Amino acid sequence: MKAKGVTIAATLIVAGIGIAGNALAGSVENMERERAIMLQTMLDPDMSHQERHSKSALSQKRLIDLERIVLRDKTLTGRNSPIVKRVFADYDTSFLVHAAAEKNLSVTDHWFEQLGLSAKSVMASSRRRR
Amino acid sequence: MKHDLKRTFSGLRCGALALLLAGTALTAANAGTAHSSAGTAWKPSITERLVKLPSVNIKKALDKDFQASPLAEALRDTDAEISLKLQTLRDLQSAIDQADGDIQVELKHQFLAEKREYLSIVQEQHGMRGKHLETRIRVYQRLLDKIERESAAKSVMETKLIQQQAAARARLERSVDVIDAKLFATSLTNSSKYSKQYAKNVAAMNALLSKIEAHPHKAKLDTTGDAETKPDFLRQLLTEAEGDYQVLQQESEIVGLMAKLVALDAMGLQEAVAEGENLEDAVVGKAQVADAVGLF
Repeated sequence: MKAKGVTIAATLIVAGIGIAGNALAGSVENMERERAIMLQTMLDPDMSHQERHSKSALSQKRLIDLERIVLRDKTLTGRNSPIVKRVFADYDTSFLVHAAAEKNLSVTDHWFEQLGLSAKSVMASSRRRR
Repeated sequence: MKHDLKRTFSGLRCGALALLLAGTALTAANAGTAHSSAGTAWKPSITERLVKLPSVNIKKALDKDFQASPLAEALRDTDAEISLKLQTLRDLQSAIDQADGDIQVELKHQFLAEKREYLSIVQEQHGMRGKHLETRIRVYQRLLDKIERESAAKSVMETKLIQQQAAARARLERSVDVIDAKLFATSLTNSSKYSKQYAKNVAAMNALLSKIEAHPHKAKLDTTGDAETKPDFLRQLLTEAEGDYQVLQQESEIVGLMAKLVALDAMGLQEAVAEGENLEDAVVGKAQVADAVGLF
């Protein structure tokens, strides 16, 4: 009877350990790196349209997962580091792929919109000396 | 000669009853005050472990700590002593009903002496129960203070970050199905390994959660009741402990009344012995007391 009690207690302890945090360091950094690569691809003038499209599609596919990993990472809750603060300060620029899909925009259009650049504003601009 | 012996015996009984009366009066006066017994203590320490434990386990951990303490050991001993004493009182009561004459007076005297001892044990037990409840209340209070202090210590920035994170997660959950439909139906082909695995795990977790909800022992495991947060649960425990403490104080008052009743019975018996006649049956107290009421 006593042995049974001990076994149950041990099982409970094991269950408790199993529930404990599954911290995965660097989820934010991974996402930021992939995002930077995607933005670089989008803005690279030396890249062909075809190349840009394929690379950016691959980055977007990775970013979907990476963004979700960051959003669901409970170890980041309340972690007051500059990188975490910056990521959660602006959903639209940090979680680019999700925010773009929400608005039914391409990631590039969404990014420019976030920067305050639109086709109309670019066309309306003029070159002049400051 | 026979008459002299009887008078001497009666005098001795009167003296013994007078002593009993004095002792009972003392018990009555002391009833309700905490009795400090040396070596019976419970000193739980508020460790980080206790603060970090889930709500359900705080009470269990504290109960376990108490059960292993010298105070709990002493309380167990006292409980056994009380139940033995109650048995003796019941036996004596039935013996009084069957006896008559001097033997009945003698048994009544013994009955009163046993009652006094019973009251003194109960009083000691109340002292220990009071000590236990006071400690428990103090622990809950300190835990609550500690948790509240920690949450107050969070900076404004941290609180803001937690709010932003909660909002971001809620936004994802709201839009995740729509986004999946849009993204995976277009250029990005089918879902990733992570998405598939995550969805599979979520389904498994939901299945387990529904099984836990439907489990017949779930209610036993969940002692948190309506409390949603840890401070809520601690406040609930604190209220319960305060309630128990008040009930204990009431019980102490009852013990005081019992002691007074024993003193009155002793006085009556003393008078009866002095007058050389038997007393009528003692009036049973009307106070609502658990097991011992019928005996008083």
